[in-house]
Amino acid sequence: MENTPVIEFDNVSYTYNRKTPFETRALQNISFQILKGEIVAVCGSTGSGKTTLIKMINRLLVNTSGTIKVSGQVFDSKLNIKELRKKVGMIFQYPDHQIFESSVKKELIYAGLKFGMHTKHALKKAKEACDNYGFDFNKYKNRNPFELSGGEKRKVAICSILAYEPEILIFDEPTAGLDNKGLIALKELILKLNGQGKTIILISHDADFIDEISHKIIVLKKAVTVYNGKTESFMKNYSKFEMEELGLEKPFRWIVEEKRKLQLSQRENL
Amino acid sequence: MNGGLLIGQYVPGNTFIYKINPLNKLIFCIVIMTLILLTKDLNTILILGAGLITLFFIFKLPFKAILKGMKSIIFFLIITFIMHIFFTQEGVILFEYSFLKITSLGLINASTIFIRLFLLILLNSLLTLTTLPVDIAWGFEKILYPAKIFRFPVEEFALMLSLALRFIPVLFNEMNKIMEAQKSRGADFESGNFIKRIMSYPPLLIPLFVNSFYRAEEIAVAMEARCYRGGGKRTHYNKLGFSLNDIFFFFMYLSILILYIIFIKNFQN
Repeated sequence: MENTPVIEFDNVSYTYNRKTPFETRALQNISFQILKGEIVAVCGSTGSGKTTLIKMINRLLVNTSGTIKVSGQVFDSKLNIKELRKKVGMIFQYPDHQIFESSVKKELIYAGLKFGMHTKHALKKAKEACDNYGFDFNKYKNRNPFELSGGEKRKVAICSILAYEPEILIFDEPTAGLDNKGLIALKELILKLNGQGKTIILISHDADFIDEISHKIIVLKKAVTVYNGKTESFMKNYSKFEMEELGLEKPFRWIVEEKRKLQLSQRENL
Repeated sequence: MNGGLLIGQYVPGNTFIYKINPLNKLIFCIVIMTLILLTKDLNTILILGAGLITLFFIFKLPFKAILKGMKSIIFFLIITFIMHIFFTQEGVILFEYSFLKITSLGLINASTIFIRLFLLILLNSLLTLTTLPVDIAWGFEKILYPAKIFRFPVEEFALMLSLALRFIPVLFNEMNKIMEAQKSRGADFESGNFIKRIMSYPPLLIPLFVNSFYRAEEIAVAMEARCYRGGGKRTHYNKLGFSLNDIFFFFMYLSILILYIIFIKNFQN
């Protein structure tokens, strides 16, 4: 991990449907920094503003106030927006929202071609991405992605983002609907990508998953940040009930730890 | 939504218009729509339009937000306006260049059509903004009730309509999500010439259609699981009645209709 900030939020706010009867403030004066090579989890209960926050990183939503810097640069014109989206890859929760090509191969190289890669180079990168994730490129390349199972579609969606090698990766609820095997593979992939120097941001409600892989955690509640710091100290210092208030379950290992401490103190008292 | 309201979107509220029975509102819309379509004179249409816009302010509806939401439709209205300007050749020539001619009658006709279509959309917004899709479907069911004599499947039609209305915002939401997923993969839906823009749409439309079919299948299965059978006589959970407000509203548009007929007669004389 380096000490260079790759993402900087300074007093950022966002309001949906401004000046309409549906006006909703989704984020209010959010400030934080994410360093290069960090794995950061964004947590909070439903409607706390997590998805809004990650969408602003690659300018799918434009902040109503404040400044957002990615790699030290403010991307606020139409000209450099493609450059920003090449830097920040976003993996959405539902692969069905992005799959449209007639074959897996075409689907995997779509983004690469859009970002100016040559077909051969895009194909090479797609194969590498599949190898990274343990997805058999040769087996699936000519298959229609609509005929794949849910898990396979998710793999195609992830590989199609990895194939253009973004520096920052954002995962929106990556663990939703995954079985244990899928969860282990995903964990391995994230750690591998992080080992290759990628900065990773993930939204998740799975506290065990977050506890195991993230360095830092940003917790949102009703559009404001309630915690921004090391994952370990959050898991250690927040009680089970406080975490439940924030839409998280206390990780198993910390519950065991709490019980052990309680037993020790009881013994000492005796 | 760019600060605007989608056409067909319901906005919860508690003003007078919300308390009117959907059937009454539907009849009002049909009456005003007929008047707008039958009127050929620009001045009369302008008076009708002024009246309709006044109703938006009386009923405290977000008129500015509705106008903002109409941005995409305005493009088609402008195309219609331009076509009518150049296709009507009668009247005094105001401007001429090569084969293009703008005549006084062409300008009046184009303006009339433009305002007429604009008012029809506005009238539709008045109904959909203040009435739940389920209530609109109920209103249609009641209006079409006499068609049962001719074995017209009224209940099925109403169900189809309510499902279609119910899923308009869902589909818009889904389209936004797909658009975001493709934009983050480098797709560009906003720049380039017309053909380039059209060609950029398959990544948006294919997932939208595929997901819609899946959704339709899921709804069909869910309905069957709850023993839905077409053609049965159905009762409603919420029974909508008529109140004093409805009588007042009915007399209001009846008087508009009478005034209109008197006005047209005098005007023609």
